[in-house]
Amino acid sequence: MLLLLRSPFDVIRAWMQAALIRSVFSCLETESADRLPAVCTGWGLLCALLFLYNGTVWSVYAAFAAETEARLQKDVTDKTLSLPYRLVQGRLGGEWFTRRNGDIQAAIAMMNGPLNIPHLVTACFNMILSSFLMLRASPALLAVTWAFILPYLLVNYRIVLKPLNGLKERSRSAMADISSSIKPLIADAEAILLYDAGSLLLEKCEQESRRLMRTNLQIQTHRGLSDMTSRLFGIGGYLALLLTGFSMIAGGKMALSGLLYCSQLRGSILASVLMLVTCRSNIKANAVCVKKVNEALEE
Amino acid sequence: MCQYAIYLEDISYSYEENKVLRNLSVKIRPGEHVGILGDSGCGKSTLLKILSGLYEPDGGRIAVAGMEAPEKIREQVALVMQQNSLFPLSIRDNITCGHRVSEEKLWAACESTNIAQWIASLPQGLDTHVGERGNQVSGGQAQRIQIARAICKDAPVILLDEPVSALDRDTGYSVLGALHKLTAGKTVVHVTHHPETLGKAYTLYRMEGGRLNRACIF
Repeated sequence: MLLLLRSPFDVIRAWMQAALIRSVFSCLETESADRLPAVCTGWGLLCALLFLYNGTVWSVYAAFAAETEARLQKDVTDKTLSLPYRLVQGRLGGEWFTRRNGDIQAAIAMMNGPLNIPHLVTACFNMILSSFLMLRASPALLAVTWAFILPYLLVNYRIVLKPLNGLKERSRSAMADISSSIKPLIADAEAILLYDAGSLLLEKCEQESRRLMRTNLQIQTHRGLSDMTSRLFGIGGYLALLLTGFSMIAGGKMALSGLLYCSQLRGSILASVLMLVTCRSNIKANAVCVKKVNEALEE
Repeated sequence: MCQYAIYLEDISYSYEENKVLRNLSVKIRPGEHVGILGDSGCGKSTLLKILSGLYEPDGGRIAVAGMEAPEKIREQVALVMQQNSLFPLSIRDNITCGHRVSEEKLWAACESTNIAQWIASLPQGLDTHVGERGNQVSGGQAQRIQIARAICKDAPVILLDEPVSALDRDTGYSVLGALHKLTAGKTVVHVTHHPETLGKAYTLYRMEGGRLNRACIF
């Protein structure tokens, strides 16, 4: 419910920005500059109200997420304590620490963190409604916009989303191994000091840290490639929109204010697509941890 | 002072307000075997930590194998603890602790502690992982690996902190056999609740009121 209340924010803001630009340029084109202060003040007030609304919904949602995190931590701890000792002993200590801390935090990040489920819902709303507004303004420019977005989505799926699950699983397992290899440095400090075993154990920690670093680097490389393709398709799409728009202006089918309005909406669609892609990649990564939390609760 | 393997003079140690050791003095000759008895919480383990250079006393003088600085003392002692202190590594790493040890010496240590046959029967032999806190091996095997580790260190002073108290009777006696091989010809301080685990050659002390008093059990 809170998510639904929060979700229209981006699309309303995008529409307000586009409408403001169109109104301003319309005033200039019709030589009625005296209307500008009233137009700007009106839109400014609407903008303030929109941000007040968004802040209120967001703060209620954040409190809800904090409560959920506390409840999840308690449930996972209770469940872990009720498990047979043999099962607890059968897994690395780091695995339990990771479940109790990292996995739950990832689950909460999925719920409340930046660019996760809330933003995914917002991005979907924004993308659909901005496309609808653009469709009403100019179906041709909407087609040009999507002609560049669809291939980008396909490329992104191939290079980021598909390999992400396996990579995140490996990263999580390396994190659990690091926690386990650090534990003896504290728990067995006496034996380490007496037998001068510090270097041996630190070497083991270093190996695990390197494994984690390599996996995380792979994840970031895939994300970097996705970012690069987004720039290429973004700039290409913008140039195509301007060329089509100017040819329509030259043919008398559109005014400059209309092109600027569509350009703003295209920006909003593109931003929501990029947000959607990042959200999907983050959600997919966090889903690996959520799966572990569920496993812990069902054990 | 140099003629003693362990020399303690007026040693005091406190945990905040709780004074555990009070002007404790003792002199142990090289090759002497000393058993320390006492109730739980009387400071036996604290004394071992001071003797092994893990704790620095609040006051007094200490020398172990002629060394006074804690980091130097640590090089001169091998401690076998009551609790399992195996690292989550292979049997080989747990015994050598990452130091260069010849295969011959390594297997000799395993022979002395009666784990050579068991290790040889494992598919990965010495490279078998012992699990986290040694949970892939039994308590007796874990304790024998710790004794093999102490044998490989070849330190002149051996400190034993209830090394068989966590084991069942039969395993405990078998581990004691391994300990005799470790302690032969060395200076030994053995802390225990169970005087029957000490040999007759031990000089006995009882820890009371933060001091060591000579005791006679046998």
